[in-house]
Amino acid sequence: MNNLLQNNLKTVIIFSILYIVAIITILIFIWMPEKKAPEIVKYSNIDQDIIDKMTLKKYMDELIESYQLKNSSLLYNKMEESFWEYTSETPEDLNRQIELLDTNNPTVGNVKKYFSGNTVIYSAQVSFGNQNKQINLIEDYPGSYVYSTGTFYKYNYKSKNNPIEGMGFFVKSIYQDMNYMTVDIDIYNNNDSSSIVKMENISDVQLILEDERSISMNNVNVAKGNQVIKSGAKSNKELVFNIPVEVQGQIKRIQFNRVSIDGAEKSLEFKLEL
Amino acid sequence: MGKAIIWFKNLDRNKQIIIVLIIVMAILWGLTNIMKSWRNNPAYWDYNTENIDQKALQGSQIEYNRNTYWTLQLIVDRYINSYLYEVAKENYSGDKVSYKEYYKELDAGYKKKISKSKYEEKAQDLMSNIVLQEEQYEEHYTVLPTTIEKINRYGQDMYLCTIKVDDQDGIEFVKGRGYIGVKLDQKRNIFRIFYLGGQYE
Repeated sequence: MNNLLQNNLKTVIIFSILYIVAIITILIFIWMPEKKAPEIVKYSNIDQDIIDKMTLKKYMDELIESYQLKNSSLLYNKMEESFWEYTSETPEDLNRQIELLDTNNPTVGNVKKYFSGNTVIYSAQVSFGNQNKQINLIEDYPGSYVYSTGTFYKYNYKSKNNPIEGMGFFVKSIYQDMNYMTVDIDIYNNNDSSSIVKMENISDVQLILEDERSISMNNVNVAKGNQVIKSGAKSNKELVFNIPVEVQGQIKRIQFNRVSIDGAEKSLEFKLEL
Repeated sequence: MGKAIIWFKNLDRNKQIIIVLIIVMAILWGLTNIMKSWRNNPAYWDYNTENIDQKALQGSQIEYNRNTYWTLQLIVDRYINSYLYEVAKENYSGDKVSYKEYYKELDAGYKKKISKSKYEEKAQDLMSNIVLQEEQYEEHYTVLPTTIEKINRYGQDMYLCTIKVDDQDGIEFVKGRGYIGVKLDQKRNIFRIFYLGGQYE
């Protein structure tokens, strides 16, 4: 009996020692300071100011070089895709301007920065001799940009939304300027009877932002009031909203607050994200 | 539950052991499946990746953060310069760090998969499209300007950078793309390379 107890006691002691050693090893392993990293794999955090400076320098250097080389094809390639669709300028105008510009010592003046969703827009005054040019650098993805001139920012095409209550909404284009936005929209009536899309008041159509704030139309003159749409017909509307570019990226939906379908007035909304 | 415990207690010892073993096996099987799904999680970087194709990019997320972008761009530039230093030592005035020194600081998972000679071979393949030896003066090298075209993020801290040599006068000078995988430890401000590769024409 004594022998048995003595044997068990030995086992208990051995296991206890092993257990304590294991615990200590684990604790040392957990709390051991991490090996100091060598200099070659260390990096510094970058300030936003420096990022902006690097970004602008990279883009502006390239763009100004293209102006200096009077290389219009390079400038075309870098231009925002839809620029020519909305501007009164023609490619020939651009060629003429480039030829006439004093490109010896251009200087980049006041730069404003805007955010629109994932897009960053740098809008800069560039002086070519005594001529100033407003240049917008549109960065949809870091490291890559397109540009536009003047107050023009971007012109997007959007797709069709599924019909709601028999009404189909097809945003043909969105013109984005620095301070306002124009939505060109076709509205289809797939119902059996005529429908009325009312636009008598500025709040009849609203943009809804991600924080649920709403932006009404800037006036109803462009939208030209109420629109009766016969069954199977469509109507085109141009809706203008005073909305600065940095807020445009926050748009989530567009809401038609007074749509009369079969005599009943309804509010219809659909997704609209830039 | 109580009945099950009583039933278990009443079993003879051998049966109890068998039941415990079956339960342990079931737990292990469950854990294996969890690990497997974690491995197959698209957000997970597969260290066996040889080429960057759709499968390799599956499930990764495009990184838009400008801060991360520029941090990675500066790291990539440093790495390119470390290659330049190795090939043009006497004529190089920047940081005197060779790309070869990065081998011992590779991401642990990548280091297990790649020998030093294979690493150097991959780095040379990638860099020979960016750092060019001049034909007339062989000791002179030109570094082509590069841009990170896209960043794919895996999990929280692994970034696969797609590198494009900038167009020269609007013409694509080097056709194809290089890839550098960089893992950022943002707490300690250190980085580790977890992939090197390129697909050039």
